[in-house]
Amino acid sequence: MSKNEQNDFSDLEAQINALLDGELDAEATAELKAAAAEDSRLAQAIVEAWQLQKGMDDLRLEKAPARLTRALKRIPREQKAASRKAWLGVPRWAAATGLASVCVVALAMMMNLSGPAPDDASSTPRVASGPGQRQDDELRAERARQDLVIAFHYLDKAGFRVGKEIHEVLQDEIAAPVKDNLIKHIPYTEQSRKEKQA
Amino acid sequence: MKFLITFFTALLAFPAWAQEDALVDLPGYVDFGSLQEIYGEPTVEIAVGKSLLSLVASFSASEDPESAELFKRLLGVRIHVFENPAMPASGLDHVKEISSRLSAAGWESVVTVNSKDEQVRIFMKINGEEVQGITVMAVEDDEAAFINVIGNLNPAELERVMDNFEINLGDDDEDEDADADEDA
Repeated sequence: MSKNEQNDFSDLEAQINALLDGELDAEATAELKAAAAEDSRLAQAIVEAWQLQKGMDDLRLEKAPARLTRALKRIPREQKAASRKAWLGVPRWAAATGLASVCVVALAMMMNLSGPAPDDASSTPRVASGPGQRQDDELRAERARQDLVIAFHYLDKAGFRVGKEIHEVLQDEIAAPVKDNLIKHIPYTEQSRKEKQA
Repeated sequence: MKFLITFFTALLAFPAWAQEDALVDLPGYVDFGSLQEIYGEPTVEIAVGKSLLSLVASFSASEDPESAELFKRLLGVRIHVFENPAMPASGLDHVKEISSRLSAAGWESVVTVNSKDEQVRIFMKINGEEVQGITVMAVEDDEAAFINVIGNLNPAELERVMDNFEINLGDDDEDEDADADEDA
């Protein structure tokens, strides 16, 4: 793309943005519409820009609660702090593992984790080849990803509560030995469960 | 073209209940009952179904393959959060009622926390060597969260994905103290 073409493209982009924001005057709007009527690529660009804006507007409909917003804003700084020290004095085994480790222990007691989980190849979705549809898919994926971030935040929070509670009940001194013993005990527990089932 | 625009707009605004309907028949699905009758309007209500999870997996495969692998195996993620300064007493009874129902339906109780100011229940549905779902119910004085993750989920894998999502374990009050310290 030449420099002139780049400048033209930037001008058009600015005009499209102004049109969508309602900031383009009547004369310029009429000129842009006339140009779009003769240039299908320009028309498509306007439609896609509108779709993108609509999608972004929709994204804002689901407002995160204030507490979550504050927590998410703090993430970058906390990530750095977390690498330097144990989080707020909570023992590393409790804070780092939270829900996940508690579930792992329980899960390992109930089942054999040795086999890899089956992969569902059929779940691969259709990803559109057209630029407009791909853009739409990206918006949907980004929105779903934000939903998942929120969902995982609350999972994390529940895990933190559990870890904290275990810490308060067991205290540092006995928490690690108890955990170690439990893990060592898992194979026997699993064997015992299987024998009972048989 | 107008039809396409309308169609895609409708897709973008597709409500959470439509995703939820698609999950009802899955074995890892949990019916939380009439949450709104007890807790009022939800602050957060999310239902991400298999199609969206697969879509997220596709788009994140290159930059975050670990998360993508997890999302491929998940069938749904549902969450209902209620922030209510006067949490009703019936909320705890409701958690107990759901817990009894889950136990009767073959869910394994993994964690139970009963303290003065909070109740946490974590259940897992396991079939053979496959996890079919995890359910978390956490009720405290001013907040109640009901989470249901449906699909083959390895908790250790989930922890790593949470790390990738840059979600931190947090307690707001203590965080605010930390903020204040830093600001000072």
